[in-house]
Amino acid sequence: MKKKNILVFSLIIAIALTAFVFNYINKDHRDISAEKSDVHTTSTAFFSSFTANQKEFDGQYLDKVVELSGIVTAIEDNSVILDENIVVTLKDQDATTLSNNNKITIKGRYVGYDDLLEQLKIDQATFTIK
Amino acid sequence: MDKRRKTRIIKSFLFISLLCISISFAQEKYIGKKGILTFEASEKAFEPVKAKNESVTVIINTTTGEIASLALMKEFRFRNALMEEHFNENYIESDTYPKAIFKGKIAAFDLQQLSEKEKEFKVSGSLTLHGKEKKIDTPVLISKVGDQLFLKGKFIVTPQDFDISIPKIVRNKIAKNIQVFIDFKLKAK
Repeated sequence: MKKKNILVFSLIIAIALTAFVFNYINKDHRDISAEKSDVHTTSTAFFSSFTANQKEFDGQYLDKVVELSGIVTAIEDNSVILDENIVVTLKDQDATTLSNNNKITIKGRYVGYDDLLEQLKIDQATFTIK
Repeated sequence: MDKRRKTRIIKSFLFISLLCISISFAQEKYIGKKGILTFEASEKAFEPVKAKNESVTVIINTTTGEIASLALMKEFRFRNALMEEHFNENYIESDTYPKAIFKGKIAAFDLQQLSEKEKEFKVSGSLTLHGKEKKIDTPVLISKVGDQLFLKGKFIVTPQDFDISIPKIVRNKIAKNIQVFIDFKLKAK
């Protein structure tokens, strides 16, 4: 009887462990739209805090979920430009439903500064029109 | 000729020449913001090690043939989320080194010679990532359709080129040579 208990017990442990490892290896990608944002500000304030201190800014916001409000200044494919200096790439939504001068709030992940375009980049974003 | 007419002629001449200058300046650059860069380091019988970045920036100066390209490391997407996490945290260290930059020159580049048919050019320059610089010499295929340039190519790098050490435990799951594929579309600016 005791032997059988041990056998059942270790079998349960083994199954649980396998499930855990399997889940860990095959874990899902982040769902940015469902995460809590780390900062909520305007796109112009976000950009000026970048220009004030680039290194510190990256340390603080890289890979973080940000919520930014701003004015659409351009639409390119699946990207929206906010106040000329933030490129926001949308995840599922259609950028063509927007037009220039729309006031929107976006939520996405800050991925870095593009030196060539001189713009900050946000990806996996969702937007709401104000 | 009275003075007023003369100044008018000079003014219009200046205006036209300024216009010409601005047009020529405007057309000497081609920009792409949605370049596709894929790299693959898969080994047979193991899970594919492959990632794609669909937001690569590329600028070509068509008068000099200079080319610059930038890819943000965090924009590389893997199918496997854990692999993406390891790539960012353990290998490429994207918090410390967030981008890869290529700066180089397309040899014998001539915009006039481009057509819808792909033409091979040689590109040489340096690729900087993970705080290390490596010289790259590679052929690329360039074609031109309307006001768009298409640039395709592939080259090989190794993790050692950029001081990236692969732990022993996963060494046989990651190819020694990493293939990099580029597929850029640029528009006249």
